[in-house]
Amino acid sequence: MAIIGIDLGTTNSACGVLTDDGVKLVPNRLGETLTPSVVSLDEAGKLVVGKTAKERLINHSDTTVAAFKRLMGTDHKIKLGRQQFSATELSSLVLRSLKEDAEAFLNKEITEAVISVPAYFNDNQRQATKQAGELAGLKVERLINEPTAAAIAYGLHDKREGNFLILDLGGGTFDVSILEFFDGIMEVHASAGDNYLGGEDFVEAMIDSVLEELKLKKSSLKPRELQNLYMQMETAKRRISQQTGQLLKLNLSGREVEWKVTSEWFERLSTPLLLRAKRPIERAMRDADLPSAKIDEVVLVGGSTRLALFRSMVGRMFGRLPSCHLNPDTVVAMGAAIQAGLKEKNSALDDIVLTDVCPYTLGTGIVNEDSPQLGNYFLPIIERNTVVPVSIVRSVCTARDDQNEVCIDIYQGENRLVKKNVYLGELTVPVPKKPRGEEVVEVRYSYDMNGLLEVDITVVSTGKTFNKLVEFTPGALNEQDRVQALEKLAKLKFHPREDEENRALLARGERLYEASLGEQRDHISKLLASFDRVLDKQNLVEISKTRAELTEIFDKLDGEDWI
Amino acid sequence: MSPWEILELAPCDDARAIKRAYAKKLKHTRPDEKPEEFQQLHSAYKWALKAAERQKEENEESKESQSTEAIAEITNAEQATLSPEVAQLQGHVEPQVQQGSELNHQDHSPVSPEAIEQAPSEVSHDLNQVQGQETGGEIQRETATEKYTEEQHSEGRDAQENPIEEGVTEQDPQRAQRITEYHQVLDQVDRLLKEPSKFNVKENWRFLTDTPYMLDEEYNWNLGLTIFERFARINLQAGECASKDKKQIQISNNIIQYCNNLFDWNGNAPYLYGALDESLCDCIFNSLQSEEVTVDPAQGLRGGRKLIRQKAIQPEETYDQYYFGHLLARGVAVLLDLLLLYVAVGFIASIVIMKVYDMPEGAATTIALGICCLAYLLMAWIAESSHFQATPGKYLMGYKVTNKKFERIGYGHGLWRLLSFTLTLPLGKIGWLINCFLGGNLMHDRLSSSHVINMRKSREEHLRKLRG
Repeated sequence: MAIIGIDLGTTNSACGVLTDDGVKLVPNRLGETLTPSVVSLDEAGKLVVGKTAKERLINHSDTTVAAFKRLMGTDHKIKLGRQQFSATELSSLVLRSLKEDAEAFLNKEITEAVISVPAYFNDNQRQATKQAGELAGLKVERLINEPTAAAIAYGLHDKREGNFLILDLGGGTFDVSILEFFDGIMEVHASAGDNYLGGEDFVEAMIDSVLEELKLKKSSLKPRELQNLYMQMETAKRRISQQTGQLLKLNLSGREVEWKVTSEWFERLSTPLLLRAKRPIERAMRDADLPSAKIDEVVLVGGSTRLALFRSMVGRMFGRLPSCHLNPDTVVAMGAAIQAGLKEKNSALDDIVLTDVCPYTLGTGIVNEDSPQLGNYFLPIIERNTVVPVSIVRSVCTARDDQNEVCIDIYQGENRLVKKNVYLGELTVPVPKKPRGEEVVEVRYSYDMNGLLEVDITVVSTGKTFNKLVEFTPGALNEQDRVQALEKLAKLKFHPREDEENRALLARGERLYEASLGEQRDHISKLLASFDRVLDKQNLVEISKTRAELTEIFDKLDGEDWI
Repeated sequence: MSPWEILELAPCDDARAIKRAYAKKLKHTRPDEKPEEFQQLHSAYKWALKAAERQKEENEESKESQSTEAIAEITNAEQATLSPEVAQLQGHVEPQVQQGSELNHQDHSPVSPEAIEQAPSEVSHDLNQVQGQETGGEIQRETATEKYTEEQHSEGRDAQENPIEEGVTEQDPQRAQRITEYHQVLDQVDRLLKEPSKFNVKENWRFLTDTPYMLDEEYNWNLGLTIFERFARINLQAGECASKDKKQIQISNNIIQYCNNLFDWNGNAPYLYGALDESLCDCIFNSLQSEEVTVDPAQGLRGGRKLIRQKAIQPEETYDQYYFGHLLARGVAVLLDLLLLYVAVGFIASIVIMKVYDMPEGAATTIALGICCLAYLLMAWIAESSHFQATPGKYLMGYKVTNKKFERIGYGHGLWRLLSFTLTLPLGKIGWLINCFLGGNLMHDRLSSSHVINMRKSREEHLRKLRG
């Protein structure tokens, strides 16, 4: 039974498996290795995931959703048609699709996976990812940090030793990790990141700028116009370094506007985002305590690192060209697949040992007597960039006379005040009544390789230990929720796999039809009608022939490059 | 066991050997299998690396001390030929060294004047590198010296008077361009700051990101520092004016936050404190503290019919002592609620009754009052069980209805509370009399095991106790 490695991305997902002849990326139903993380429900109530769903984003945006990874670890729900979904549930649908692809590819049942998460994902987000895997019928024993996964892929590929700086700018998250390779050891020195910075933010900035210039409000646009704008800007972003001065025809609020995409314009609106990207890089360098001269190689991972502006910024920061000779879109999936393979057959484990760090500080709140109005102070227990797994004990004592309970609340973050950090949960333990400061409890935080935290509290005087945690995990499901979610998700079924290519083509045709006018529109309409006729005849040879022809025609008509 | 013993290695200063020994041990001490032994091994390894480094430094120092004088002479000579501004600046910088010495412990300080004073060799070394490197030139160039040339400009406010610039222009046209840009932007900042009606509009500050130099560390730091100082001066002044009952507009928090995002003032706090007066820094950092920075996770989400947001639940504050609401205040709260209901429901109801049923005004009002009372019961149930935990009247008083654990009561419990209340009503005046002696924990509270707590007082007392 194989374990697969999955890169569950904001924009695209991919899946790989370690076979006897190296890492194999699993092709999806369209034969492609990247599956857009888009979920759609079609008119028949069936589930559509991937490229077909992405095409539907334009014309069926109220039953289609993308970039929901951003909402992982929150309680927000998204309404698709009449049903509500959490980000966890949506992610599980993408995972299910990948799982089925892998099952078809390997011809056996898959029940376990290693899923990659951004290194800077917090506990809530990690729990949500794990749960998404479980909802998709995958046991997730190991979460791997994305930059670490990329490093594994690079490390096995190059077999080079030295210090590596991995910059992972994906669709929605940015991660920085500094690693060292030597003698088969891969040691992560420091990780930092920004959970809300990625390629989508560049597009968002472009759109904000366009709308501001044209004095339009986002809410005043029809969903279709807005999604079209997203698509056009995504295309423009991808082409920005090849051709400057692209002329776009935008359809906004019923009027047609010409918009010139110049590289100066793009540079200007990227600057704040690039500045944000610099922060985690600087912080990781500081935490790792390495001068930039000691970095042997800067490795770029994630599709958004293709942005020339980002590359030149990195180039300027480190005085050298970053390398990216593995495909930045799939390298994380490859690394996750290797990790999955290592986990599966213990024999191969002798090759490589990985040590990782905890990217943020974990601690508890302590009474702030200097300025109570600001709330409690944060008492760090596990400092950020401590090597994991780790287990650290700190003692705290009662703050008042005759206190009979101690409440240990668990926070994660870097601020000295708890209220500005992320609240993870709490645990209240009874203590004997004594004058203040005389009762001591020992708080033990244990952080495992997956980035998940466990807390034990021992009351010193009674010797009793408690570890039942009142968890505060937004988006987390209890047993009852889980059964309900499973029931809801089980009702959603995919179309037969073999139809997927036809569906993707039809969805694309439909998008092109709605985007064009006049003669061209008639032409597309005729093409789609004839394709429908061919499909009805169910002659496989003929279908694939017509499909190839149609794809060629659509390629010519389609000016967008956004999937 | 000593770290060396854990690593099974004889003490040495060879980092490579330590790494090899660690790697060998680690293969049998996997972090996921033997977490405790791994932690021990890892800290031994880190310790050994540090020890080796120290040992190496010591060895080198003893060798070096003999030849330092010679090096110093060479570097001085280089300084004179390579960078005329270094020599010139030393004069400027020296008085500030005192101030900067606080920064000493920071290894990566954007402004460290003492780098020039104490380690002239480093500066000239850097400059040497610049000439050798082409791609990385930009970065290498930001030595402390140059930072200060720019600051001198900004403080002098008049670039032309400064003799340094001409020398610089010849040396490095790119830098000169950057400096010109810097002055242009600064002029724009100054113009904007003179117009209080405009400077609190975020859009008016967008020009800051128009130049790609923002990504240049030297430019970014200097511009950030100058703007920081100006903001601080304006806000301090405004603060003083306010204390004298004069009005002057402050730079608002969202502008400060916006600039903080561009210049990372928070991250550079120690350097800012090193470069500027404490009162100036405090002023800005206090405003930054009060502003919450949260990125909307839903930003960038695409599609979907609707996003249903759930508010993040903040952990409730808990106090050691809670105070019951006062009977009189509760009475007032009920009257307020009734008044509100009369305005909202009763008045309209009485008019409707008068028109539809053609009743005299008096009778209609009585019926309307009855409706109000029923409406009150309904409202009390819903409002007290909701997350407000209070009817509007109680809310105004700062009262909250809680269960025995001082938490919110659910709708079920709320219904029970409502029932208890109606049960005690028939007691009439006797009931009131009894309640007077119950210390704020009234009959129906006791019956339904709920409390009406004066949260405002509880909080104030809690804070007071903490302070004193």
